[in-house]
Amino acid sequence: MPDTTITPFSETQDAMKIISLIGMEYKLIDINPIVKEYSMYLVPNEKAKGNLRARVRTNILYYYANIENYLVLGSSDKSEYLTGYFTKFGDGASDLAPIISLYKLQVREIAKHLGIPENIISKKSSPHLWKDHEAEKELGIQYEEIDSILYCLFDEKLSIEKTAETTKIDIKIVEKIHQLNIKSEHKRLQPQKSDMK
Amino acid sequence: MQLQDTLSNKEQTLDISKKIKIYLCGVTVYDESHIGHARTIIIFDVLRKYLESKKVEVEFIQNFTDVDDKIINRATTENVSAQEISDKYIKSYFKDFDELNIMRATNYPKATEHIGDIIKFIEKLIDKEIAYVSKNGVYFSVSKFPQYGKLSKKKIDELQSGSRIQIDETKKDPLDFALWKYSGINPTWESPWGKGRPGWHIECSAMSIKYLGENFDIHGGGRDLIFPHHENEIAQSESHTGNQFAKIWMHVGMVTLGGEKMSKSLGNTKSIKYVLENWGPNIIRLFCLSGHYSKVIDYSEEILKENFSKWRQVETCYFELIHANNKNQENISEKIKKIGMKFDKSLENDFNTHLALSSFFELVKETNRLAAEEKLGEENSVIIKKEFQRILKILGLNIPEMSIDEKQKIDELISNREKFRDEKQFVQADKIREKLNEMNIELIDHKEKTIWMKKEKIKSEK
Repeated sequence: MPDTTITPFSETQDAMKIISLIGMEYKLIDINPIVKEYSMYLVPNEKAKGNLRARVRTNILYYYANIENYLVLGSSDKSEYLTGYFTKFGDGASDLAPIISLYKLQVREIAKHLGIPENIISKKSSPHLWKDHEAEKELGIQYEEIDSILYCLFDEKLSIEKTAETTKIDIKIVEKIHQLNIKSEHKRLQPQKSDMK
Repeated sequence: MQLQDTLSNKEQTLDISKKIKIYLCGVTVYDESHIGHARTIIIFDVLRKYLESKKVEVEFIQNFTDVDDKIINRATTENVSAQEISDKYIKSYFKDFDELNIMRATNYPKATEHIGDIIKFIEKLIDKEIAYVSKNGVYFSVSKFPQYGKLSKKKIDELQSGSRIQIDETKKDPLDFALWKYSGINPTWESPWGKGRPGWHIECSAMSIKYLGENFDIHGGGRDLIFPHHENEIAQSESHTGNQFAKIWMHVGMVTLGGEKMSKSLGNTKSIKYVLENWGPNIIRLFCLSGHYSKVIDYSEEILKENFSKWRQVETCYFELIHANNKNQENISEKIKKIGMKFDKSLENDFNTHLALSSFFELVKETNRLAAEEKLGEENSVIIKKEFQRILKILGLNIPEMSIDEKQKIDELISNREKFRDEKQFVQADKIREKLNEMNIELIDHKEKTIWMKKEKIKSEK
């Protein structure tokens, strides 16, 4: 589901490559006209429009899941999940999240094991919500560092200071990742409900 | 109800037996709103309040122009996005106008949220060969609408000979105006003709018809909008639908300053924030309603001072009514009824708020006279209060309700003060007086009693 004005064509080619490797059914849908129609009736805002792209994709996924009586698989991994690096009710919405317990670097290892083409494994992670959008550029840190920090904080349950010491990463960066986690707490919770009895 | 219609140049009857649909051209959100905007919006607010007081349902649409050269220029100067500018001034708009006690419109459509409707509107005009695509955008061909000029009473050939060097050579006729402008500066939208943004006039045609239908009751705005804005709106809308657009065009006169037009470019505007801070909402409303809506009114501190003393009379009247307990009463019910009828008649006759206010002040003066002559009893008070409050509500004037606690506290302070005075403890008595002053409580002495009133704090009083 590329937005052809935003998503580089190489991304679509990579997706097609995987599809032909696995031999699965597919639909190629350009979401650009849909997003464009939306923006004809909404106050312009580039960031909100970026998240809208993710949610339009979710709508389409659930549309077909509805028709076929399918469940939707989520693509979030542990690195994205813990930092909140996903769109709430966008790519964050799914029925099953099969790789959510794996850090980004672990996903890459598994991909190697599964024989995924090398260029797909090694390319820069990107949600392409807007032009030239790259995850590491937006976060300002490499996934190697993010994963080490997250592992220390959440698997080893180390303090921020201890994490900085162990990973030898600047404490400010550790602090930043920690903050990303705290600020995105709402994305990982069910909607807060008023008192229901 | 009769209203002067700019288009037919005659009074037209507004049929109030059914729902009334009104479209008012709102503000371009690139700066603070000023007293000129306030006047137009207050006039329409009172019109609506009057109709609703007569149990007429009103659908009131007022737009925000949130895509415009002025917004983009300001955004460039301040190095922020156009959206940030319009967001900021929309917030500011609501702060000002809520404080002015303006009832919120049924809807406030924004141009940026109706680009799809605007594009469809233009497409139809192109299909009908009334609009054409040129190098710089899409233009409305004025020669295709022979009635052009009917609102502003301008003749097409006079306009043409009057127009100087053609600025945009891609137009077929210098009078043609833009429906869509190609642009690379954000905000922009894709369109069938090229990336760009809508012209100014098209949004009001597209949005008024969307919300109110092709032929709604009243289209309003400031007199300065008659040409070219409303003239162009008629041309676009009637070409699009083939039907009459608004039934009545109601235009509100400008507010001048020392006889000069108030405008951003001259730098002589009085912002609503400024007048609110200095005079408060009631005095501003009285001022804006003081002349016939179609005429110019001149802003000056002296005139606001006059309205300030009028407002004090209204407050006095209110508190006299609250405290009324004279035994000796005049029969006033006929008189009051007549005043109320006169008030309504003034408004029904081309919405003459100037005359309506005279009736209101007749009521106020009559009440204050009765009180001074010790002839204001409870029965009188009930009759007058009903009419007084009805009118107050229509005019959007507001005397804050006081809690029982607050009233009791004031009564207590006053009786303590009297006690101290009786005991000749003047220092203590004066202290209470000071305290009352701080609370903006004024004592009114009558022969038989002293009553109090709580005055609105007005900064310019000092």
